[in-house]
Amino acid sequence: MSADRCTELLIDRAIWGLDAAEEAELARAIESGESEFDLGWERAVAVATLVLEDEPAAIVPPELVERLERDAANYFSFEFGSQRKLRAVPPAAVAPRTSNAWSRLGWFVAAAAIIVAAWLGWDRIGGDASPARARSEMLARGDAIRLDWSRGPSDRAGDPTGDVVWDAHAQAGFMRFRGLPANDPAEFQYQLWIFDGERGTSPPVDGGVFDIANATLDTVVPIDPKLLVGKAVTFAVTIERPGGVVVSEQEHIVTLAKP
Amino acid sequence: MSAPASVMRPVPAFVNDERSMTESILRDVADGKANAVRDCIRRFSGSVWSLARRFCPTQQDAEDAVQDIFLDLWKSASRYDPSAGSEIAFVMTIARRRLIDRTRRVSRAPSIQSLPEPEIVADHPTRDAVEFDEEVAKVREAMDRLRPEQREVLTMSLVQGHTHQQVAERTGMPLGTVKSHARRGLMRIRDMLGVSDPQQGDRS
Repeated sequence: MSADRCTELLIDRAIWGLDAAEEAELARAIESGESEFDLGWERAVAVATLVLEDEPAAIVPPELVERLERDAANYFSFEFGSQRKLRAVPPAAVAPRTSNAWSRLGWFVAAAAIIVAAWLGWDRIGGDASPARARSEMLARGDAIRLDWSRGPSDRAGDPTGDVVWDAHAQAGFMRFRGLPANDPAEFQYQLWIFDGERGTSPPVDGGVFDIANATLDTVVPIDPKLLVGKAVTFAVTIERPGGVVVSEQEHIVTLAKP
Repeated sequence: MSAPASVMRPVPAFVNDERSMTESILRDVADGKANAVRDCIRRFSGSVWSLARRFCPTQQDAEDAVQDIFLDLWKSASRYDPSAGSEIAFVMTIARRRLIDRTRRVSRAPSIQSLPEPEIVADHPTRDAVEFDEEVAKVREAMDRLRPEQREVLTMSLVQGHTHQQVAERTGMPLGTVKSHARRGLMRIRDMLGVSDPQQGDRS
């Protein structure tokens, strides 16, 4: 691939996004060393958008601001106002997307619930839109496959158990873990890779970066595929640098799931 | 920019709101400081929300997208490098990437003007963050030098959320011309930002 073609793909990706074939073309170029992935175009687009945006910003709905704060409190495990650090909550926990129940109950109840969640484990009391509940509902619909995790070859794998649930039609799914070692996100993060039987020799699809806060609790993580997945044949979790990578060296495969 | 008489601040006043525009919020966010997280939501949520409204067909989709974007931001805050650009650019880069991924995943082209216009617009604090940003000033200068067609194509694509096919249909330009205008315009903007391109070397 020529340098000009790489540049075109990177610019188009930043402005409009690429289709699956173009993403694969770019991924192959990066993997082979022909191209270098840089975020300069994304940065230029972001600033240009701000400049071209000539209208005053719309008001953010107060309910949305509350949900953003709840998500942040769950993620960082703190209570706004006190600055007191609470016990870790699995990072996959997010605020319900549509219910106003939390708003009505007020912030003190929400903060108390966070503490209880940390004590009991989020899965047991998760809200209607918790990943655990969403996973159960996906399984109940009967359209998803469920595959058990097996230990990967890495000596950093711990003793992972759990499963992956994947709905090909919805292009969504969930991973459930117990026994995968907790990580410090500043040191390393876990990254999911989905091997697509319809992509031939192309690299696996990035399924998202995630953290494990506590190896002894069940943690349910939504799958976040960066490309359309035709036929998922294997799911693999690797250890990567913070923020993840575009193409994995697969040096540390900690767990695998396949039929 | 002066606020209209009916202005309503989009988020409540905060107990501790003494951070200056030049301090790094994201560094404190990465350290999990509650006030920084709240400042971050207050300062950037308006710009993210405005962008999400243009990409998403419904209010609920836009709200869900903004939640996803801020979760990404909490995860990514430690990767922010001040030497590589401003915080607002970092935030909006994450926002655009998430919105593009989301749009493509549901195989739905961005729909403009599908959301009701807000009854009240605010002189939002995030606009201050934009006005005082050095990168924004550089790009504003670059924009003034773009050819009208380049600016038009970029505006339709970036602000209005149109695909390249939609831009071609609306302007009557061939698809290749649309892409060419957008690419050349963005190259000038990138040059103005002083970001070297590893594929091409330094064009300047």
